[in-house]
Amino acid sequence: MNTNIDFNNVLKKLIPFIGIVLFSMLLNTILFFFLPKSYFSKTMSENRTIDYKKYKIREGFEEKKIVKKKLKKHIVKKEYALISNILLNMIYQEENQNGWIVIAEKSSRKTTILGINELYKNYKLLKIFENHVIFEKNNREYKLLLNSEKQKTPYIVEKTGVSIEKIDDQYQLKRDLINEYTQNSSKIWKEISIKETVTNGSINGFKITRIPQKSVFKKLGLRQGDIIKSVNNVKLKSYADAFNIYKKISKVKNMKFVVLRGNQEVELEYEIK
Amino acid sequence: MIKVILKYILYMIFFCYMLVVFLPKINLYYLALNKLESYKISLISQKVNDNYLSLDLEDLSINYDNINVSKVKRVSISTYLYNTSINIKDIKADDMLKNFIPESIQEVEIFHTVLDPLKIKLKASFKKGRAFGEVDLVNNTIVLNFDVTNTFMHQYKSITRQFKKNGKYYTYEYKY
Repeated sequence: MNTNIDFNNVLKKLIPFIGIVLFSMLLNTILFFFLPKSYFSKTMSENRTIDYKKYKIREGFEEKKIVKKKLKKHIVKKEYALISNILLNMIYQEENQNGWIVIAEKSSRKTTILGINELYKNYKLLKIFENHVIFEKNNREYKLLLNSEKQKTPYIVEKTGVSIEKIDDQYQLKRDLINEYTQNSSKIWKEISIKETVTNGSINGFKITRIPQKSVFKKLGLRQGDIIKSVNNVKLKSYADAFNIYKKISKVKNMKFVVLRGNQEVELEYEIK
Repeated sequence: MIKVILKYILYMIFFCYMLVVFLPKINLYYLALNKLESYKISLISQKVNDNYLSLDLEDLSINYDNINVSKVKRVSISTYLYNTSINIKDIKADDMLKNFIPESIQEVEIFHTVLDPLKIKLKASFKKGRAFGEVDLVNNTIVLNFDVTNTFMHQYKSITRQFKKNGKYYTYEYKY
């Protein structure tokens, strides 16, 4: 058996292939010099924000302090009285212990509204707390509980709607409400439908085409037919702008919507707590 | 004579393969990312592998205008010069888009061949059906045929209302 290999012949046949490999390597090396060596996203590095800033023009370009109004707590009736013959029906309490209460006589059910330092049958209303109040009579303090003695039911914080309050022209809403909707986007589309409005081929806002009566968005002051033009001074010119706001809403504390209602621009302001 | 022609054909094929093998695929990927950036699209991949004949991207996050729109488990881009294919597996659309497109798309295949250079073929399969179609590079149109269930038609009304019934399939046409 002849086992001799003709290396010269093999090399002769391999040379074109080696040449092709070297040539393709050369071509790709040249190409390599013209290609970017790394990538860094410019758009991702941009800190696009929808932070809310408000300025007072008259007093210079200084940032206006947003007056945070304390959330008032309405506490509804629970029947119990440490002071004989008096029922504490309601406590209206502000965080600085101001407020007023509604008390009733057990026998007649006649109700009386009392403010701080006001008198009721020589009992002076001294302090208001979340679930009780303190009266004073003859230099002695008396406690009147809102809850029943056996604490059968806890007191209820009365809310106007679902975690939304409107104080002056500003809506205050709870962060939980925002989270509830951002975590379940299908819930949003059940309560609102929007469609882009196009002028000269470009989007210039989003029109509310449907908003059910019980929708949370209705409680936030939006109406069917409103065209949302901007949010926190970011004009809505694309779906991306809208989605960008949707994505960042969980981080913002204040929002301002500019909507076109009829021929009038309306500003809706929200404080998220 | 035929032997010589065959020999040169063999050299050509070998040359094509060698070009692909030594192609700086990752750098080409960076170039593509830079180009996409001008359309506000950015891709972030946890792993980029140059596999000689293909480029594999794993755990890819697709962002449009700085907003995450979907996550992709795996993308494989293969090119043999005479044809190029992109295979995308397990696309999970962002929650905010789930009313517009299927939340989970199992597979998308994009295929281009020099034998039909003016068209790009598309194929996709998802839970409630499948879609196939093509991009016409001359007429700048995308035609997609959907073979989907009624549930799909009802669930994604915002896009399906633009579909036209075409025999067995629903057709969606987009001109860009």
